[in-house]
Amino acid sequence: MLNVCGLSLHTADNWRLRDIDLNLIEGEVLGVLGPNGAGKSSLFSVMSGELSPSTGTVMLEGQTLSKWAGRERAQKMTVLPQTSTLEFDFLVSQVVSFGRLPHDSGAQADAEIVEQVLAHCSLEHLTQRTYTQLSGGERQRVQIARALAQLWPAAPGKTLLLDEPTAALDPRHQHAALQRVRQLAADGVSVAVVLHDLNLAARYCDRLLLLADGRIQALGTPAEVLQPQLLHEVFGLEVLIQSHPVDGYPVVIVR
Amino acid sequence: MSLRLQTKPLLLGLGGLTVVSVLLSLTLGPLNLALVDTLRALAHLAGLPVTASEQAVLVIGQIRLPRTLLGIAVGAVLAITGVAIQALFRNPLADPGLIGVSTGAALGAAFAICLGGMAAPAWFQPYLLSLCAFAGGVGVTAIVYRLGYRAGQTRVGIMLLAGIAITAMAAALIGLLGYLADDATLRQLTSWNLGSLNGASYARLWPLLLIVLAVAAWLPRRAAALNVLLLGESEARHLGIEVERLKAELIFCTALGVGAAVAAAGLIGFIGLVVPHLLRLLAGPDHRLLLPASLLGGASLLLLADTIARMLLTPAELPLGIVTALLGAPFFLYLLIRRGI
Repeated sequence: MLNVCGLSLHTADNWRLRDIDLNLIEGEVLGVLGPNGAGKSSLFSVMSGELSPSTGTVMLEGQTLSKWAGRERAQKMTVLPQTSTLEFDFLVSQVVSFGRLPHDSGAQADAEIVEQVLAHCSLEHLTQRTYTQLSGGERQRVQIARALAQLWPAAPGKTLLLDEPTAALDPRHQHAALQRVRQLAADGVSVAVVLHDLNLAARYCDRLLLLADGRIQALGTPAEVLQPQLLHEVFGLEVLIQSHPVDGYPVVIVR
Repeated sequence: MSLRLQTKPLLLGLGGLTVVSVLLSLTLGPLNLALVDTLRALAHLAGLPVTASEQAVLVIGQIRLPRTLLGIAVGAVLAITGVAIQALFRNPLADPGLIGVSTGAALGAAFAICLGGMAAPAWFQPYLLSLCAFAGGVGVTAIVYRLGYRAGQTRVGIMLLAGIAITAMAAALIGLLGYLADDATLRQLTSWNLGSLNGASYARLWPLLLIVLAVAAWLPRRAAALNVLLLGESEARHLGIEVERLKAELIFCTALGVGAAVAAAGLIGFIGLVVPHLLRLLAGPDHRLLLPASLLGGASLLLLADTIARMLLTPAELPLGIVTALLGAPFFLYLLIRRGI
């Protein structure tokens, strides 16, 4: 569980974030939306402890984030930044096993977890390939699997932050990845995920946070946040909002 | 799919290679000893009740054993710090020289060679060179590290550029010292810059061996963290690694190790680059295997290069740095072309 209170971030003569109050809730998926330069990545960096806030606090499980020892923090919170550049020929199974580093579960348990995660992410056919041979989308799926291995087993009290995890994926794997995220939330994990696709956000998130110019423009259910007027102000887009004919969640159609 | 050697066969093979290199280094030379005589002399030196020819005991004990031990220590530490620097820069083609340690040590040595004679008492002369070289290497690395450090973070990109600038400055100073030096001093300077295991003695060996043992014991403890560092600094941080501390440790180990190696044997290039790279091709990038393998591989390769350097022009000997560069540089170019850069 992560609590952000009165957070502002000032870097290079510029306020990147102003007055952010935000709680991640156990069992809930929060989607973070906003145009380029809105401050999504800055918020992500501060929430993951990469940057210190200029004012305000970020608390993980009731304790200030910077007070956590790295290892203990990594046991509670899993963070997946945007696609990383790994130039060395590790096997896919090795990359996924890196997720077990902060844990004391032992080599044998770790090997079993890695195997389960690889199966869970439908990556078995790639395990003996080297990471550098993979396509961009495959690499991203391996990174997601690594994050899953770090989080394993999903349970209340754990937090997962994902920065555009679906950016390099084809439509099928976008949905597969976000379905897995939903399963984690069902097991009690609090999740925040940066997304660009409004419809993916509407489909898979419990709450949405709309950022622009470093400020919260809206925070609420997809139906509350995905309003034509608001989206026009933030993205400059003319949209129609419909209800999904079967499941009822909002569907955004650009005019 | 890539072919990967398993841990055991690789380490056993490298261990065997090291033993062979050590025996070659002890046996071959201006005075060729039979293998049996070498082993007898070694056993005799170890205090076992074995008779050996006095000449063999003298040659092995006084000349070749310290030289071989020096070769093992220098080769091992150059290779293992090469691994550390490649992890730090997350680039398999990085070299310990990038952070200024080699040139810094060379500058320290140049000062000692050109100016030391005036100031230091005679008994201190043999140590002056090593001490100045070590201080130069560690000092210049400290400056480069300080330049790359801001607001609690070491920025390796800035360190790289600072390393290039400081290296150029140090090289200019070495050039200036050489320009001002007389012929004899210049010759000494040149031969030191080319690297050699010549003149190894137990007195100069011990400090190096202690440092090498410390570095070789420390780095493998961080193998898992080094693996994760290759994912990226943020990724490593999110996996619980105290990244700034790890980077400081890597730089400290490298400055100490390479500083001591250059102080003892002069500038010897390409070992820190070629050995880790070759072993990555054979066994993959996992540091839990790569670090011990590089220790053995570096020691063997340096001993073999030194044996070649001694045998090629017997009784004269080629500077070791020339041999490693002539073998290493084409291999490096081959790697560049193979990578398609």
